[in-house]
Amino acid sequence: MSNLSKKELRNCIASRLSQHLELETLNEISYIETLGDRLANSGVSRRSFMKYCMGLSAMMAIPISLMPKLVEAALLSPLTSVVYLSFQECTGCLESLVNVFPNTQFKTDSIENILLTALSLDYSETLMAPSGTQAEKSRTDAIAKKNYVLVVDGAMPDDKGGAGFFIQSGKTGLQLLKAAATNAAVVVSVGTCASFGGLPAAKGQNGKSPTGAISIKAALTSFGGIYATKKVINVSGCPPIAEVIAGTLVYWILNKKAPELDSNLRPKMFYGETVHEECYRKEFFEHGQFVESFDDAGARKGYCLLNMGCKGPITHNACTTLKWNQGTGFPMEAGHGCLGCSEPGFWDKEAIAGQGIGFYKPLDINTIDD
Amino acid sequence: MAHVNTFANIPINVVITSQSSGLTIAMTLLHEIQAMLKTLLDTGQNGILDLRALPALGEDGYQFLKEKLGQGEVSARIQSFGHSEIQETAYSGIWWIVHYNQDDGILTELVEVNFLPELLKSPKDDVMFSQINLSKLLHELTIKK
Ligand code: SF4
Ligand code: SF4
Repeated sequence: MSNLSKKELRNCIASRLSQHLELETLNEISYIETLGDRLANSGVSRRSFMKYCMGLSAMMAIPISLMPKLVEAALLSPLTSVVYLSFQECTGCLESLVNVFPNTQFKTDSIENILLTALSLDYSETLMAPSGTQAEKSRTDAIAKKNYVLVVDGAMPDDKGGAGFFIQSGKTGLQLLKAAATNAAVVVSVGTCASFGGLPAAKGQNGKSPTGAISIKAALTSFGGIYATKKVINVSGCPPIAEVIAGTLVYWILNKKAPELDSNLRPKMFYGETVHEECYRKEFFEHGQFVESFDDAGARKGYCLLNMGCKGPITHNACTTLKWNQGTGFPMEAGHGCLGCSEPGFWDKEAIAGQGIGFYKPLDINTIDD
Repeated sequence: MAHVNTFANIPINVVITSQSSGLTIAMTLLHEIQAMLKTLLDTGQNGILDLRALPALGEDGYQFLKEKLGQGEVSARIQSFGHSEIQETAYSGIWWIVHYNQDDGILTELVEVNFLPELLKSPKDDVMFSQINLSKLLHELTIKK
């Protein structure tokens, strides 16, 4: 299948489009690559793509019976372009995302790689080959187009006064974000730093973030106008689970709209429940059996980690359902409590008001509704 | 070889004997599948149940469903980015489908009510591509001759 010329593919897609009255016909002169073109060019059969999407449907809460229609429409739509910008971040989020492609060094044909094929990653400083002026040009070209998905990781130093905490080719982070957000269909803030400020926004000795870091949503709001109303999806977590990032992007490819979001703008399909709700230690929680120190008899029996500072009951994430490292496990299975990494202000949050900050400070059991 | 009927592939009327919630869900699913069969016959519209989206089904409910639906005449295997196993159940038109990834991990498990599972049919685009490719092959073969 992969030995078709672009023209042959074009003709196939054009004739298929003409059978779908509800979809726009393609302008023959401007060549827009469709998802169908891309998959065929990469030797991914329609059947494989359908299988991939069906595998994700339960996770994305899309009724499986709708999948064939969604896939059909997605195949005939232009390829989703992704522009990936990084600000004050540690690259852990991107590390996590590339983990969705397991064993890539051995198996380039892994089903998880279909996501890489199904997107057009037009700009990512960490992953792309060009550098210098060439890289600048890729960004200018990518953001000159319309309706791409702008993925951002890292918080934004709010240095409108020009403190210079983030400068790239003479532009501040705020200027770069504004330019890239202008034509974006949606902004996906990947990681807790981009979603809520995260570590860069944690308070320093003077009670302020040293760089004045704010979330991407807050930065966009500060620009006003079209930026304040731009659709933002927060995919929080430090880092977010690979499948959660991938699932959010695949949802967009298939539906061309954001999934249902919670009050913190996180997709409900992944952040609808706390990690505590599905934790396998919950039975001990209910029976009041708690670990009191990391090496006590309760720890060996796998008791609940609440008194060791577990923030599971107030943390919305999919760790206990989707699990980490291709479904291997989650922190409580390794004997450590949840740090609460996917919630706003998790570095500075006091488990009990007035009791000080700390990952090992326990929550007040009386405030946990169960 | 003579076809041996087992308890699992004789279409019997199921009576719930256990209080387990997994079994209750499995019973509900059987009713749902029954309704899907009616829709298929009346309108030609297929129906799919995603067993992975139903964690409450539990091991007991899952086994119950699998055992009650049993095995039919057709089984098929798809080899694409890991294999998929498709098995007709003892009830014609009800198919049990399991998709695996390359590491033989289960991607998803479905019950599809259809005359032929959607994924077994060759997608139209792929057929169009093969039409082009086959004509190329024929062209090459003609030149060689
Ligand atoms: S408090 Fe933590 S360890 Fe205990 S049940 Fe909840 S999530 Fe699990
Ligand atoms: S268990 Fe808690 S701290 Fe750990 S990754 Fe999940 S949400 Fe974050």
